[in-house]
Amino acid sequence: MNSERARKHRFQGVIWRLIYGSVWPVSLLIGLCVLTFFLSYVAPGDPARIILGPNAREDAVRELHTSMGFDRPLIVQFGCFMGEIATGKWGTSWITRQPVLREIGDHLLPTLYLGIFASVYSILLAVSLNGVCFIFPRLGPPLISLLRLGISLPSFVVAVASALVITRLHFWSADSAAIGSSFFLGFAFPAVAVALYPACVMTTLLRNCFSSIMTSSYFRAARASGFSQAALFTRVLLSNSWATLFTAWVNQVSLLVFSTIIVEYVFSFRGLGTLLMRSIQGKDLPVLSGIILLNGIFFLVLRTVSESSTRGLFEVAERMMLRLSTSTGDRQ
Amino acid sequence: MKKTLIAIGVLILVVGAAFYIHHTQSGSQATDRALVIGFENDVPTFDPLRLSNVFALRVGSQVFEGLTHLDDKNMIVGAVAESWRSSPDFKTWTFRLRAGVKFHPHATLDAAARNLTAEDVVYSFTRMLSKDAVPAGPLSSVLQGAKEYQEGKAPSVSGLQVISSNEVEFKLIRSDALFPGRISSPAYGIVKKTVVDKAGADFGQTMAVGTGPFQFVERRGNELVFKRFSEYWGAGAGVESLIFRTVKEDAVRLAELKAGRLNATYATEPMLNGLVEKAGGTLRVKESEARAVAIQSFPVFNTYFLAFNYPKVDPDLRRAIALAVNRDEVISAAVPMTGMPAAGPIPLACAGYTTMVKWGRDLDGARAALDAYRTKHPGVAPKIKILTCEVAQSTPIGEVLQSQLKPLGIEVDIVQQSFNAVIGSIQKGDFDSVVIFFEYQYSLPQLILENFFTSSSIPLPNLFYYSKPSNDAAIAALFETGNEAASLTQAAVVEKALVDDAPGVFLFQTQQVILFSPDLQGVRFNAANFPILTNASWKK
Repeated sequence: MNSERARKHRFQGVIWRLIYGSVWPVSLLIGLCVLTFFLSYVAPGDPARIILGPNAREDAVRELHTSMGFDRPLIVQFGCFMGEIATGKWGTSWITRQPVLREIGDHLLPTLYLGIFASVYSILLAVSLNGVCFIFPRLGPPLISLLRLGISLPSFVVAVASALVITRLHFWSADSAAIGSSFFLGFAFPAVAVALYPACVMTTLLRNCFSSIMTSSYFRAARASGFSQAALFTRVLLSNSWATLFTAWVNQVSLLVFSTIIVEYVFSFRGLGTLLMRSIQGKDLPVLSGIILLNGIFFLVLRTVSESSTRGLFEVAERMMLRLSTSTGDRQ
Repeated sequence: MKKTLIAIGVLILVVGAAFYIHHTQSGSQATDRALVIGFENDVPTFDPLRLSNVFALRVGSQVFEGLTHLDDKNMIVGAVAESWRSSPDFKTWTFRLRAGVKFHPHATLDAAARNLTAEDVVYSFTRMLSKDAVPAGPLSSVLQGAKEYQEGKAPSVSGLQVISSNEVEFKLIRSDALFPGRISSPAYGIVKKTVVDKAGADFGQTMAVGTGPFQFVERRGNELVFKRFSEYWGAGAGVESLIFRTVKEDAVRLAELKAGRLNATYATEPMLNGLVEKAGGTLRVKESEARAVAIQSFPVFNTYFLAFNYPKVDPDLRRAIALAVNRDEVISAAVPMTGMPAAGPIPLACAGYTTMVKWGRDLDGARAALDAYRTKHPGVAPKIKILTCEVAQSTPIGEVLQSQLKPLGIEVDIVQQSFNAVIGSIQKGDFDSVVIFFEYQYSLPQLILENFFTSSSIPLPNLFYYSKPSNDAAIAALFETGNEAASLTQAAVVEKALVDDAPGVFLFQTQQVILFSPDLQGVRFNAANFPILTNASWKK
């Protein structure tokens, strides 16, 4: 009887946790929709006028305005907008007449490629720079100065400079960017501009994490037991810092997204950043809402994944520390 | 550890080499025979229905052709129409189609019959009258039955008739001696119904079929790729393939041109600094750059101006400002390389047109007008608010005007807004004056006057809110005569009367500069800024 009640309690607990867990993301997404709609509503410019251009006559603009439903009460327009989102239609672009999801799909790959390259670069740079600093301590101060320079350089400057460098390099031209969406490696060099700032920040955070590990008893024990510098770096410092590195990366993703927009502009990639700029300038509300919602969903998923993975990584790190302490204890 | 490092090094070398080989090969394949033209803007669509910006029009002009078009001498000539005739009252126009005009072939959209017919013309013009079609406006005001069709009261446009398989008739609600000029924009390009229906929303974006000298191949990243249409009715294109590539950054576009990866690009004013010098009004490339770049420049159909809210701003104040402005100074500040002073709204590039407006600064006249203003408004300091926006050097121009008017005692407040916000203020009539520009699609002065300066076009495109029955009647009369020279002379009279009323201060027009790679020859442009590539070829 007691076990049955306990099972029931557990079941109720799971249900409540599920409800509680879904309230926040759903309310956030609804909030995003409301915000997007009203921001677009108050933003200057009549969409019908934007579609037909400044040379169009007022009567034509008025007719299109009516046929698109902009003369209906605000609450009705909002209801229709939310209805479309809820039914997964996401509407049709006012500029190209394409379904929003297709527009987003057409522009997704360049942004994704840039993001993947930039993430890999920033993690590799953070790890390798700290590795160099640890194994060759004399290289530390000049590298740190370079890092500060990297942090102080705006993405736009880096993007323009790298675009110009690319055009100078004969074998690797900016028309790799033109091939863009179909040519994965074409994004390799421009992604440096996206990665630079996050890489500098992540290097600094990793360096701080290393400093605290280096004062720990298990690090001293590992050193005393005769681990080489390289082994100390990989088996003690790095293996205990993955959680920090991962959290740092998650925190830099929003910056990566922002830098991606700038780099897409400079390199003329047909990515989500370009689409976002176009939809803001053209007051293309359906596309704008689509991108903002997608961004919201992405960050929600990222947050959920990062929370559970960080917990997992910390647990793994704890187990490794325990094993390391045991092994160093055995040696002693 | 060492072995791992060596292995990583070898791997990097192998991947780098493979990438180098792959890229150099694909690069050479892509650019070997293609003429690559650089744009600073993206072209999301070039469907004739949506040709609302100059970049899309430039692309569209290569693929689509209307009944008439503008040639490189800025004359209206037949495109798919071989000839045309009108009734004596210019209310009925009959266009005879050329024989052997074919639509481009397309693997999936291909229609069984590819010859252009009169039905295609009627279908295309009917499609252009849909509510969200950019070219609908100028047509619906003259074509019989267009309004009824747009409002859903009629299933078809009564003024559009197929006379025979190669003749189409347009019935107008009023005389229009310039109708062939009215429909000369690529926005009136002829398309095929079966193709448009099959392509759906993709038409003009990833699929397009027209009758122009180039057929659309694909959209590849930020490139639009075309190839020469071998069955084109006229002199075919001089190059095998054509690519329009978007490179937004000026510096990158210029570097790409110098590196030979772009063959031509429309230059913006900042791109010309350090590259081009002005000698006696002519632009030429500096000697140090002549190996990498060649240029061509030509006046285009545009005007930059300060538009007054005509009924709102006092006439003496308007006149005083118009007389006080030093146009050369404005040009030096905004567009030193490409600007040409102008006092009227009609572009200098209009073929056969001679303006009667004289421009020049008249400070005494300005002071006299200000005295008249002060007499009418004792104790009120002359003051004006100028709206500016982020496009077309609007704010720098506003600031120069502010500095020129201050010594005369005219106080100027500059209010900077976004372009959309400025258009919104104009729509509501909530402004004193605005610095803005017109980029005309029309090549005929009469059409420009009708579209921008008649009462029926208030508030836009007639953002001046300029309304005078005598002016409306004079402009309407321009369309009732078949004597082209007399009509142009009369248009010049109307322009002069208009400028005397000072609805705005017409500041300058610009010429377009095109930068080329020196191995390219024979590319021509019309003043609507469309490339004409029939004579383009590579120097040997």
